[in-house]
Amino acid sequence: MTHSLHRSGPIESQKKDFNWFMYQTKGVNDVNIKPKALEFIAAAEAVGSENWGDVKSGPRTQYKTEEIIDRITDKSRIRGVFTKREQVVEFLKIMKEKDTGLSVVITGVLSEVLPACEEAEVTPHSINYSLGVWGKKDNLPDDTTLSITTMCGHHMIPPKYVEHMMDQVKKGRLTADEAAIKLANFCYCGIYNQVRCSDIISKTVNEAAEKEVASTKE
Amino acid sequence: MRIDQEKCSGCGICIPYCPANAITIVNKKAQIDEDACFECGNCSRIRVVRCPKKAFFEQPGLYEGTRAARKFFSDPMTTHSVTKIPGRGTEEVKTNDVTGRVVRGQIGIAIEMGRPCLGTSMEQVEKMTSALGTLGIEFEEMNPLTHLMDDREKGTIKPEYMNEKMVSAIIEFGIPVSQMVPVINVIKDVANKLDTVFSLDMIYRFEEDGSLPIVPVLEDMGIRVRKNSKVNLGLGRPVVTR
Repeated sequence: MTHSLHRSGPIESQKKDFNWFMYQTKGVNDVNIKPKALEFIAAAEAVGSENWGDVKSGPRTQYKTEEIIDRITDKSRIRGVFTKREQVVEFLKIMKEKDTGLSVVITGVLSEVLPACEEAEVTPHSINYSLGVWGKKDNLPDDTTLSITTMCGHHMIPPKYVEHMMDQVKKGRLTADEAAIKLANFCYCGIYNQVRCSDIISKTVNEAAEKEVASTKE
Repeated sequence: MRIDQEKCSGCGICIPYCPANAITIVNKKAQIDEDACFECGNCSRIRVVRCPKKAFFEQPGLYEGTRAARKFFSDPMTTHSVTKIPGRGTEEVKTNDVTGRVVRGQIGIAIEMGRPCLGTSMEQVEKMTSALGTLGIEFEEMNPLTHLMDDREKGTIKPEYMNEKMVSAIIEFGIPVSQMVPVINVIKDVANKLDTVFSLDMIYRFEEDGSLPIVPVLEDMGIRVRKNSKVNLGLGRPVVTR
């Protein structure tokens, strides 16, 4: 549950990070969902969803659309990523019109999501708030690493792997986009925002390089 | 997980893929610290980790003992065979428009033990559940963790599971809004006694005028509501209007 809720990082970066979800309710509307799932996928693709997937198959960054669609069952969980508020608005307009009867959920920065709902003339029903991280936080990785790992809510991305990818990009063995795809592939669900991840990696690597140059000059 | 020592070449490519940091190289072969391993299965995902020798395998009998809890609470591809309930938690807010699990006047709380990154043991989980038990919390029936309790009123975990470790275990329950302050105070108190972290979630039903009056109450308690949230759009049918 709540696996898209605790994404972290600077707010401007998070404003480019939305998740969309299709959800069937056990015992109510969870039979023969494939035609409805296809409506969700068509709407998401029409507005350019950057990544999407089915936890039972895997993400679009790793599997072809046809492979995921072929494997849709009533147990599937279809969800994905948008990077712009305008996509959310258009997606919601389509899903409201299609009226599939399945639950629709959007995760994102609330000051972006609520105006998008208003523009799409959709009335929010309920909300799940993140009240932050508690406990022994001393053992957590740094904020930049967390902003990358928390985009996989099942926490399948090890901080050590983020470090490894950063190192590969620094050494020129991978581009930031390639590293971001490798990280996205850890996330079964397709909610990993590889576009935002690539931006974070580029920014971090560039800043480290600039620091190195500055210290050399000193 | 296990590594076939005959196949392993000791290349170490697998090391950064383990969320538990359980893999090391010993005598030129990769070894797994079984106590640390969450059984998440990352290391055997052939389309993610490219072990050149395909040396990883699941230990025989994994699903028959208490160690199965590691698998079910760590690997999203599994369905909980002990509890018969899939996933680590419920559908929470995602289907709240249809289930009405949290209606006006109530809040839903989830304590995601071990998230982010650090993982948790059942011993840490019990510190929280047993403290909540003193408040008469009714733990969520549809959450697999509840089924690992030996006394749901006290919130104690079955002793045989206490040493198991996992990526996360989610404590879920609903309470009236009037009970929020004492419950949050208990959660804050236990937070200071843990060796791991947790992420805290609160589900709330929008008021008829679209307002969310719970936010100032939380702020008065010193709780900072984060700017990102998960919003159910009320498009599920039949919709719960309460």
